[in-house]
Amino acid sequence: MKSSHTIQEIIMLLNDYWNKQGCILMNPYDVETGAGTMNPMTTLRALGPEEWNVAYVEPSRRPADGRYGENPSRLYQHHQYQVILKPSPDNVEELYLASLVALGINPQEHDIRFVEDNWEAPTLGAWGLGWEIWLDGMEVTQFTYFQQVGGIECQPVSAELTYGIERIASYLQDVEDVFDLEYTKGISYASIFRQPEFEHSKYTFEVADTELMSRWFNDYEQEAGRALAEKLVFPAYDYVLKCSHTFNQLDAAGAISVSARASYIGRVRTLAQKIAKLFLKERCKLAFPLMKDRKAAQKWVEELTPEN
Amino acid sequence: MNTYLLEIGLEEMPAQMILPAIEQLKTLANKTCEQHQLSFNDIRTFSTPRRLAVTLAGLPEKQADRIIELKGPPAAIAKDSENNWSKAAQGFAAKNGVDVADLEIREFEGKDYLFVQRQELGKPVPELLQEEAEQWISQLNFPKNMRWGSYRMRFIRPIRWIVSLWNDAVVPLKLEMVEAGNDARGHRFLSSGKRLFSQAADYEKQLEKLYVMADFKKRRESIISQVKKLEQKHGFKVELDEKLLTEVTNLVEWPTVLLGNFEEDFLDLPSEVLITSMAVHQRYFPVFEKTAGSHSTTDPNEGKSSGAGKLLPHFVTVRNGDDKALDTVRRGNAKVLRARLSDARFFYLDDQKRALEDFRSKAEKVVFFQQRGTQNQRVQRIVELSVFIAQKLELSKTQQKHVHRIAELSKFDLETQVVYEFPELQGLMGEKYAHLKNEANLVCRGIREHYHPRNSKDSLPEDVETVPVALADKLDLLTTAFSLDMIPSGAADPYALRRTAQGIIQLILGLGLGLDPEDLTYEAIRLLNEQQKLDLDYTKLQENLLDFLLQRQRWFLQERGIRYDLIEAVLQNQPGKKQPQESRGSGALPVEQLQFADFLSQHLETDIFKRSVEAIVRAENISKKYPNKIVEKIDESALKLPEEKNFFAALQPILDSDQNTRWTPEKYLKQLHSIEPVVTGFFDDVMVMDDDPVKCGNRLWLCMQLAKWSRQHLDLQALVFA
Repeated sequence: MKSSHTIQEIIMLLNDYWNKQGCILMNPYDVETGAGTMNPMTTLRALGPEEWNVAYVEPSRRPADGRYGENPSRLYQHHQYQVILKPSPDNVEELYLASLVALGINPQEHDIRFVEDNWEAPTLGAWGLGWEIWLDGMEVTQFTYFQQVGGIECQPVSAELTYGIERIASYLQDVEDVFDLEYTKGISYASIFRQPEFEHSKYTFEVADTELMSRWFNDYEQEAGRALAEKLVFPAYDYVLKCSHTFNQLDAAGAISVSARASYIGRVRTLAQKIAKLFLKERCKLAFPLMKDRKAAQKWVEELTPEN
Repeated sequence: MNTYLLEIGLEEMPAQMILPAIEQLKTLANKTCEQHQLSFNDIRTFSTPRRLAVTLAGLPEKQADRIIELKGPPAAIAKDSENNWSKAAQGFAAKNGVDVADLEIREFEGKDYLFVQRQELGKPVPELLQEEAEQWISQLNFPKNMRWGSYRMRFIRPIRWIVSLWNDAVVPLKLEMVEAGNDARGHRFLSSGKRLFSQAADYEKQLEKLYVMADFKKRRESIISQVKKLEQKHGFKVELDEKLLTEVTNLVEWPTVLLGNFEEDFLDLPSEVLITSMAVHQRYFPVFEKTAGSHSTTDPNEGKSSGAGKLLPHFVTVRNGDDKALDTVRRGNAKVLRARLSDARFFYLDDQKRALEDFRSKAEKVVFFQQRGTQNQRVQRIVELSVFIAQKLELSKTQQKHVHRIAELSKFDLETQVVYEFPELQGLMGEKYAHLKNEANLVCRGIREHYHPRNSKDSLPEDVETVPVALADKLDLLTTAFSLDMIPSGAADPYALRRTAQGIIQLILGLGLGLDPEDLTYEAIRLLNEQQKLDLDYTKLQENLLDFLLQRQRWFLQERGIRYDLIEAVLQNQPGKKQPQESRGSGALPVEQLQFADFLSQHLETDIFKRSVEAIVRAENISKKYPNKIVEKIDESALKLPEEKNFFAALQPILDSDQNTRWTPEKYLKQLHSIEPVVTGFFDDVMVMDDDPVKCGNRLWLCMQLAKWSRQHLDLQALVFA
């Protein structure tokens, strides 16, 4: 193995690479998310005509995957490196492959494959088509062309690249157990994350007050609705994220039956769809300020503004 | 010799969609040539994950000139009263660029019309292809399309380039996102720099130099021969499952086969877990010890390890590239497999720590279908329905005990961690775990085999004790879904209900079970209705179920090669035909209908059978035509003519003998043939519709009884003779 970058170096290399490609470098969101996709920098910004190129790290919580810090590859919280390119450029695959080169992965010395994998997020009313990208048999990235978000057609289409940071790191560092990874020189992954992994697992599976959480879910849902009524897109979306995380925790705790599950998902999706619509409307009111081509922006505004 | 090449360059297509797409492209190209009367010597197609291509070789420079004939307005309006060409005629001539003098009048379907002959000059072929090739692209059909970038087009995956070449010249072709050129794109990582295709005819050869094997078959052969070399070198056997081989061939442009290893400890895991991890999750080929009986390709529907020896701690995978740094690739793949197998081992050992009953209590929380109870309640229904069927099949008390146990344990493994991770191992893990808990072999096997048959080619359960459970499982799924109005229509069948119903028919007919679908469906509905305290409409639900099963029965008979009209004749009077209750004549069981169809297939074309059919159909038609004239009861004393006496005498024993015994096709045919001459004679010499109401009524009664008897067996009216 030529490169044995630490996790920190991997993040820096990706930041550097995508910075050079003209991406806005953002930071993780401050509300719990299950994936980088849930961050409003992706979910909401994938909607509408505005150009949007962004990259960020997203610590992603998956309560059901918690294993008390004992499993070599499953984590309550892992890290994703998320890139959104909108509209998806014609050379997006080449851009992605060059990012692997930037990490020291020479494609000629590996087996890199694009294996069909379609993505769907029922809670967001979102789906897309694409691949998982295999590096010598290991899935290291999810590559998706968003087709719909919040039930709305994406136009133009964004390409989403989601790198599994731990996966890539364990490959580069040739490590079998995620806790043996080097976060930065001299600091192991275990020394930082073993305790929270254990505690979050214990909390989720043994301690969490599921009755209280069910109430939270209802409260968050209600508050999201109130924010929506006041046309406050981002606050409403934050409560949707809260709902989603609470749902994940309830689900992991085994507190949701199969039939109830569908109804929970449906409730979150209903909110997400309303928010998506409202986001578009509000961006339209602002005349899509991120569009460089102002004439085109004006055309979009005309197209999307309902005639009175 | 002219060659045209069209190459559509794409981002990686889903593997299973490539071959169907290339077939479509071939059809479209052929259609163009046919429509435009273009001759060619050879059409070839090429495909890789990143390209779909077709070459047409031996095309002419120019389409041949053609005389085409066009029909115009009717001759009646071609001339005016003064015998001058009318406006309509002049317009028709002008439109086609000819003089009115060239118009001809000819008959077409009994009427005279104006006709004109026009010479159509052949177009240069490249010009023609320019328009057509664009159509090929837009007419390709995929099950799921996508959009990308800011383009409006929908396609399987983004189109990134087009090559459209007439010999050495680009045939211009423009899509929204790309213009055709002659850039030769090679393997993504192995070729670099800009290259051009020099000749359309050299497409395959040139790509080969750029590390792309464009021909699917050659790529497949290359993989097979590389695998064979490994087999020879190491003396083992690689199982090349056909479906997986096709998929892998469609994942690579330049295949290099490599051998990897995993730790021997993992061989303690059930081999199916190992094989699934390798074949399904990683697309690796598993490796077996060589035995005398092993063969190179295994039927995917049979057991995975049939014919081959013990599983070995190796795997074979195909890299999309050459053999550079092959060791890195090998180690990477081994690492991934190791992680997967460690996970599987953890689950496998953890599952074993629990009692089988524990899993069942877990299933209490799992909802099967909304408003239709939990998984445990479903199992309870399967248990009761299984025992009901076992009794119908007259199984012994001991056998029934086994049936009960198989049914009880049929679904526990769905709650195990291994099945959660590897859903395709349902049943099989149940068998393994039940073994470890010392359940009887028969029961263990039943847990696995009650899922059979899983498709039209799958085997049936080995033990008679498994059969009731196999039927009950499928009947309950079908009934539950139908009770929620989830009845498949069109292509949509998310719960595979067609296959489920088909399984029921395969079991009943394949094993020759004397079961009545009416009994089975009624009991299944009753169990569901009572357990869930529903208020189901029995009649409607049962009718839907029977109808659905009947369709699958028809399918079964068709697959067996039974003549279409005979199938209809045999399946007569079924609920699907919505006939009134009393005429649901025979109450024939599906298995009896099958016997009938099989037996009669051999006799359909004999003269005596044809005459018999004619006689019975005549009798049926006339008795149906005058229902009010038939006497209530025959007046024997009024039978005077020898033909009617003979008829009555021949009919009597047939009606009597059929009273209380189940009929057989042999007996039916014998009786049919024996009465035929009598009936034919009767129709030849006796006037049925006599003026005397008693005579007439008697004769109609004879016809009616005969027809009724025959219809209890099959509907002869359905038969069609050439």
